[in-house]
Parts: sequence; structure tokens; C-alpha cells
Amino acid sequence: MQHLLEVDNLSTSFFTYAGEIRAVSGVSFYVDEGEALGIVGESGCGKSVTVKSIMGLIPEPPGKIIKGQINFRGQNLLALPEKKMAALRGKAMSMIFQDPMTSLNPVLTIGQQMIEVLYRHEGFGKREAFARTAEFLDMVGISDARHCLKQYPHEFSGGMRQRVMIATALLCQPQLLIADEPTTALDVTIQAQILELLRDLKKKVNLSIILITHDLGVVAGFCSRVIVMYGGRIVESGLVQDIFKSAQHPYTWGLLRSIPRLDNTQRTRLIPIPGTPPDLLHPAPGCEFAARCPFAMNICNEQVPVMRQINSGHQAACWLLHPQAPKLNIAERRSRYEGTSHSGGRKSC
Amino acid sequence: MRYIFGRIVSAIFVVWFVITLTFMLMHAIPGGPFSSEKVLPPAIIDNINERYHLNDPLLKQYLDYLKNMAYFDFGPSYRYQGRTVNDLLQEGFPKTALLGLSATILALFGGVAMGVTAALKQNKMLDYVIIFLVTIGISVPSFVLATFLQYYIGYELHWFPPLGWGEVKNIILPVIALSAYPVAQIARLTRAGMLDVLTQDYIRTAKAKGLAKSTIIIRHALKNALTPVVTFLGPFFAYILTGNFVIEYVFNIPGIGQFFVTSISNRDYPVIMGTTVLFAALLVTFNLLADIIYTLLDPRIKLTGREGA
Amino acid sequence: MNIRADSFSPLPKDLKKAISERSATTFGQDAWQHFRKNYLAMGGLAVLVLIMVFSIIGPFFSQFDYASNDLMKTNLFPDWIHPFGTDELGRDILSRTMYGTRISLLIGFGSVVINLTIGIIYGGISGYLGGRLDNLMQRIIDIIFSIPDLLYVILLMVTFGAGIQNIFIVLGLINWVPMARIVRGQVLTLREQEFILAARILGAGTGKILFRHLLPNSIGPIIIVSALQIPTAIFMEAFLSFIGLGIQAPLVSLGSLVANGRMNIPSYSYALFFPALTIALLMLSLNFIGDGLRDALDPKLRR
Ligand SMILES: Nc1ncnc2c1ncn2[C@@H]1O[C@H](COP(=O)(O)OP(=O)(O)OP(=O)(O)O)[C@@H](O)[C@H]1O
Ligand code: SF4
Ligand SMILES: [Mg+2]
Repeated sequence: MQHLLEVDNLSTSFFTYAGEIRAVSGVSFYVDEGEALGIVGESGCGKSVTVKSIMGLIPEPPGKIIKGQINFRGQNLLALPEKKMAALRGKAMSMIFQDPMTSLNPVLTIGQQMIEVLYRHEGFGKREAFARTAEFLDMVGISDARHCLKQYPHEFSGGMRQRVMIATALLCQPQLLIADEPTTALDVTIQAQILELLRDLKKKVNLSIILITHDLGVVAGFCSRVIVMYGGRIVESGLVQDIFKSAQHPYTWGLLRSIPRLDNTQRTRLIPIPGTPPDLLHPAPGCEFAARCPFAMNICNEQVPVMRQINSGHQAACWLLHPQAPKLNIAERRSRYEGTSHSGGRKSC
Repeated sequence: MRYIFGRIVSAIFVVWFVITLTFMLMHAIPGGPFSSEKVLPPAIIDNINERYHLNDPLLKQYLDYLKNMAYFDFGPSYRYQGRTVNDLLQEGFPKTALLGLSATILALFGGVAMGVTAALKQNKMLDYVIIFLVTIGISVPSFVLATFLQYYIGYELHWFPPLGWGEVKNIILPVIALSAYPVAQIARLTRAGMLDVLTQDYIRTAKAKGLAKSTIIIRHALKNALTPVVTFLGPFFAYILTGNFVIEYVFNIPGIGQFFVTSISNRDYPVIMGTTVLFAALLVTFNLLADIIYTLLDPRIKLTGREGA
Repeated sequence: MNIRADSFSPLPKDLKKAISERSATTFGQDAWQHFRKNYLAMGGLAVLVLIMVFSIIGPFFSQFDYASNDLMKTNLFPDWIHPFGTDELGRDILSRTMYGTRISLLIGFGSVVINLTIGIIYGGISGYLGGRLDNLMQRIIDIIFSIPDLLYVILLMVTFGAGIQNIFIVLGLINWVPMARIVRGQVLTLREQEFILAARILGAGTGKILFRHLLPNSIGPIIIVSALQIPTAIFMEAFLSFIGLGIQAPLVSLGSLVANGRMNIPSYSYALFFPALTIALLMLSLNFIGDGLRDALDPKLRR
């Protein structure tokens, strides 16, 4: 069966005065129709760059997609001319962003910013466009559409703005919605509401979602599959159960430290892993995580670990999975992490 | 409304300050306004002083002056016998206004066009050419540029007349010389504003919505990018007004600017004072206008007061 | 894949440290390195140095003086003896340009020193003491600011009379305003910061705090404003001299030379060309340097 979206060996770099920043190197994954995929990882690990590459939003220069393929509905997006790409954006695939405060244009009204999408992609007339906009505003829980459309973004709260962003993204009924940390900038109660809204919408329309988040609890409740990224690479991916029950990568263990069981309903945030994030300007010769990994071995500093299949759909890239590597039991895993956890890490979200 | 009212009051205050300052300075000149004359018999000097009320007590002179200013009566000229400063200003104003208006239009449209072009072609050849022109426009003093244009384009190449006033072709060189600096400044501000705006999140959103490039630039970027340009409008008017002095002088255009410069060398104090006060009044008016335009451009700023300006 | 016997034994601690420290370089570029990479600014600096050498050392090698005339040799076309030609009184334009540039530079740098002094004192007091006094001092600045400097400068020069001393006085009286604004803004932001608070708790006096802590921290913006005010001062002097309100004969400045050259148009354009070229180059280089300094010193502009 063909996937809706298939990313194959994607590498994206930024060429700055300081040198080449390898924001994403060799990332492969897929999204099926109606499925929600989660991407987690600490700040700067390349999550946004990955999805921006899909959307064709990498600023060029300094950015450049160096290699790889992105197939959407069987079409290689990287080979599409910009005009065709623009026709897909906002129509077949949409994106919402982290900061609703800055994502709306301050000098245009909400109405102007929503309706222009319909003019552009659907060729709607004024009346039609207005009706559709009101309908979608209603769907995201903004009832007084007529009034709202005339207002400017600064007259709205953060949560309201994010609702507007979501409604705008869905106006043309896209097949894929990319949500890049849609709740990070909002306060907790609003976060819950927005997530509830997204969950509802996913059920109502047959929508595929890529959800980027720092919040593992959100992933557990929202997605069917998860990708864990570190230093521009995927270090582990699999079904939500696989990742939460039998994670194989030390970085994932670090992320999961605060979540003992899958059925825990309490929402938990990433707690920081000691050490500094990787320097994408100077990639490590081996595993990027070696400097912070409590289990690092000699080979980790020499050769990049290859991705290994653990069971169908679950893979991880770590030298511990090599047949010759020492076997660790659960207790050992935990105790080694505890040993390092007091050295004071950086805040990651 | 309150805000506008407050602004008007402070504008009037500024004009009053300038009137008082000019009055004080002119009366502080040692020996009085006629001291630079060839030695005149004391009787004649007395006679002149009498005619111009220079023997009244200073306070009375000041109050009279203020009163006259309120009626826009700037008094008689010392040099042009039998003519008032008002006559001179009235005669010069249309020319100065035409020159200033043409330069303003050229500066706004030319500057914005150049700035947007440079920003869209960032780090390409066209960008560098525009940056080069902008730097020249900012660096070369207007009187040097005016003199150069006058000499090379006027006298050497005969493309346009080097001097004079009256025909359309007379205005070309002065307008170029006068607008070079503001064109450059506006281009620079527009370029910087545009580059800044293009990295904003809402532009990324507009791209993610699949809008056409032209829509993104004209509808989403330009309006935001012009905000810094609007804040430059105050200094811009000031520049056009003061820039006129030397441009009219160089190109021998009988406008207010030329009167001003010649009255400086003639020590014709009423003309100097009148012109200064007129300019101050024009300037605060323009600044007020610029403020209002600013609020129109940005819905976040209400006329009741400025948010974090 | 090449696997050794010890491939899977734990990574030594010190090696781990070395890996994590491999990154800690690159971002420590300082302002000078930044400035040095700015070709326009470096070019400007080179041109400025050349102009300075030309005007300061040049006159020692010239057999002509800026004021001595030779009525037998008026309006000469440039040749080996008079590379820039002579003017209507037979004065050597090269040495006049060199002297004129000296005066322009003197005024540019000298008046900035005055502005700096007044501006720092005014802005420092206004920002540090705050309250009503600050309010009043800001109103005064607002009033001065709302009328173009050039108008004040002209009025004051008319009152005081032309001459180099008065130019210094007048430019000093007017141009400190931007400096005072910058200093005040800096002081206001820094005043709230912790180390100032600490110094105050330790009992340091106001003056001491101002000069020990606030100013060194404001040095970046102060340098930027100063650098951009030098060309402003040079322009104002040239402008005044051009309309006859500035430097008086027999002294010369670039402005009065351009004015003088203009009189000879259309017959003897070189009397205009060389002084005008010098002033254009001078302004150009100073502006490039100023922009370069701003880019190098203002962290907000660094991307
Ligand atoms: N425009 C750019 N220019 C240079 N480098 C960039 C640019 N955008 C991203 N990068 C680099 O790419 C790397 C990955 O950034 P990315 O935005 O994908 O992180 P992220 O995983 O989304 O983090 P966050 O959780 O903070 O959003 C960062 O280290 C950053 O330095
Ligand atoms: S490859 Fe080595 S360093 Fe990297 S995560 Fe696995 S054990 Fe740790
Ligand atoms: Mg991100």
C-alpha cells in the first residue's frame, strides 16, 4: 500500500558564516492516511526543519535540502517547481505553528487572513468564502464569526488565535495537517482545549496529522506512532506502545524517565537530560549522543550506529543493539541514569 | 482625540519656543542689527532704530513680536526697502513648495521601490548596486551633489539648464539634488524593514497558506515594512525644508530658501526670524501628520496613545 | 563496519569530556573580528587613514601654503607643480585642500568630544536620577529635537558670528542631544540590573556607580553614535562654510573650498572637483566605518 507521505533519507543543512549546520541528516519515515504521527526530541534537534522541508518552507539561502526524497500522494515534492508547491500548501497540506502570537499578520484582519486562502485555492466568491469561513470558525469553537472576522489579531487571546490558525489551516480540507508544537506557547488549560479540538477534528474529517511536541503525555494520548529525534537524526521510532513499553535507545530512556507506565494518565513533560545538546556545526564521528550517554562505548565515538529493526515497525539506532554489545537489564538502565541526573542539565522546553 | 489634542498643544509650545529663541538670539547680537553697516551718522541710526521700534523696552518688543507672529505678521524687511517679510515669503513659497513636493514624491516612491527591490534581491548584483547608490546618496552632502549636477549636467552636457526657474526642465536638477538624501534614507529603511519583516512568523504562515509570492510581498510584507519609513517622515520633512536652503541658493531659485541664505549674509534679521518660525510651524504640522499616518498604518496603535513606540 | 576487541567496552570519562567540549569554540567572535570581515568598513577605514595622512602630513611636503597667493599664476590647470591646479588668486588648491581637510577632521572629531562630554553628563544624570528631573530633562530634549539641528545651528551662528571657535561652540551646543538620549536609555536599562544593585548595596556612591559600571557597559552604543556624528559635524561645518557662515578667510575648510570652486564655474572646474571629491570620500568612508561599527557592536544586528 502506498503511504500518504513518505520521507526518504532527507538531509537539510544551513550554510552560515560559521559553517554548515546539519539540521537534519538522513531522516526517513512515513505517514498513512488518517494516522497521527508524533515527533519528539529536545529543542534544536531538527523537528521543525524536518517538517518545514516537507512544506517547502526552508528559507533558501541559507538553508538547502541536500538529498533525499519526499513523496506526497506519490508525487516527489522536491522535484516540484515552486508554483506547484505553493498550490499544494494550504490546500492539500497545511501547517500550524508554535507561536500564535506572532503567526498572524498584525495589520490585517482575521477575516482578510482567512478568506484569502479560499480565494487563492478554491476560487470562491465573496459570499461562498464567507460562509465557509464562518462554518470553520464555528467548528473550532468561535461562534460570533461575523464580528470576529473584522477584528485584528491583537484583539484576540493566544488560544483564540491558535483556533483561528487551525480553522485557517483546515479551510481547504487538506489531507495532511502538520502541527509544530501547537500548544507550547499557551497556558495549560488552553493547551488541553486545543488538543481536545484537534482530536475532535481528526475524528470528524479524515485527516493525517504530524504532531511535534515536547510533551510525551500528548503523544501517548494522541498519536499511534512516534519518532524520537536527536541531533538531526531519528534515533528510535515505533508504535506508541513499543516506545513506551520497550524503548531500546538510551536517549528515549532518558526522555521516558519520568513516565514509568503507559497507563499513567498524568501529563508529564520532558525532564532534562544532563549535558549540552549536540553541536550540529561539528557532527560527531560516531553517535551524537555519546557525550551524554551513560552507556557509551568506544565504538560509539567512532562509528555512527545503524538503524536496527526490533520488530515490525519498531526500530532504533544504537550500538547496544549490536549482537556483541553487553546486555543490560532494566535495573541497570535506571541506576546508570540516576547516577548522572544530579549534574544539572539544561532546560529543554 | 485626547491624544491629538495633546499633540497640538505641544506643537504650539514648540513653535512658541522657537519664536522666543529667535527673538532672544537676534537681540543678543552685539551692536544690534545694523552694526554691520558702513559707519552711519548716529542720527541716521537713531532714525532707523525708531522706525523699527528698536528703542522700545525689550519686553514690549517681545510681546509685540509675539502678537504679530500670532497673526502671521513678520514685519518689514530691513533690506528690501518698503517690502514686508510676508511679501517675500509669499513670493517664495509656491516655488519652495513645488520643489519640496516634487522631491517628496520622488523620495517616497523612488525610495520605497529601491528598498523593496534591494530586499527581494538580497545579496545579488542589483542589491549591491542599490546599496552603493544609497551610500552615495547618504554620504555626499546635498550642496556638493547640487554643485556637481549643476556643473556636469548643466554646464558641460547641457541636458538641463544649470540655473534659473520658470520652466519644467528647470526643476529637474534641483529636485534630484534635493531628494538624493531622502531617497537613499527611505530606500535603506525600506530594505531593512523588508528584510526584517520577511523573517517574521506571519510571513512564514502566509507561505504555508500557499499564497502567491506577489500577494505575500504586497499584502503581507510591505505594509509592515513601511512602519520604520513612517517614523522617518518627521526628519524627512525637516530635511526637505532645510535642504531647500542650499539647493535654491545653488540653482538660483527665488524661493524661501534662497531668501533665507541671502538674508543671512545681509543680516536681514526679520527675514531670518520669519523664515525660521514659518519652518518650525510647517515642521510641527508635518510631524503631527506623520503621527496620524502612523496610526492609520498600524491598527495596534490607537490615537489615544502610543504602544511602546 | 570494523569492530575491535575493545569496541564494546565503556567509553573512558575523559574522552567523553573531550567530545562534549569539541563544540565550545566559534561563537566567541568579538567585535573586531566582525568588523574586520566587513569589507566596506575596512575599505572606509583605509580611505580615512589615507585622507588623514594626506591632510596631516601632506602639508609638510608641500612648498605652498594655503594662504599665499601668486597673482602671476592664477587659475592654472593641474600640472606637476600644482597637481590640483591653482585658484583665482593663484593659491595652490592641493595645499588648500589639505588644510581644509585638516579643519574638517578637527571639527568632526573635536565636536564629537564635546558632544560626548555633554551628552554623557546630561543623559547620565537624567537616566540615573530619574523621576521629575528626568521628565523635565526629557521634555527639553524633545523640544530641541523637534526642530532640525541645522536651523538651530544657523541661528546660533548668525548670533555668534562666523569663525572656527564659534563653530565648535555651536556644534557642541546642539549635537549632544542624540548622545544624551542613547546614554539615558542605556542607563535606564542597566540601572535595574543586578550588578548595579549589588554595587549599591555595597555602598558605592552615585558618581562612582555611573563611571565604574554604567558607562563601560554603554560603551558600544556610545561608540556607534559618536562614529555617526563625526560625519554629521563635518557636514554641518561644510554647509555653514558653504553659505558663508563658517570658516572665514584666510582659513579654509572643505565647505568654503567647494563654495569658492563654485564661483569659478564654468571655466575652472578642478577648483571645485578636488575639494568636492575629498569631502565625498571623507563622508563615504566615515559612514561605512560607522555602519560597520554598528553591525559589529550591536548584538541585535548580528544574525
Ligand atoms: N534559518 C536557519 N538558519 C540557520 N540555522 C537554522 C535555521 N533554522 C534552523 N536552524 C538550525 O537547525 C537546527 C534545528 O532547528 P529546529 O528548528 O528544527 O529545531 P526544533 O527541533 O524544532 O527545536 P524547537 O523544539 O526549539 O522548535 C537548530 O540547531 C538551528 O540552529
Ligand atoms: S550508540 Fe552508544 S552512545 Fe549512542 S546511544 Fe547507543 S550506547 Fe549511547
Ligand atoms: Mg521547532
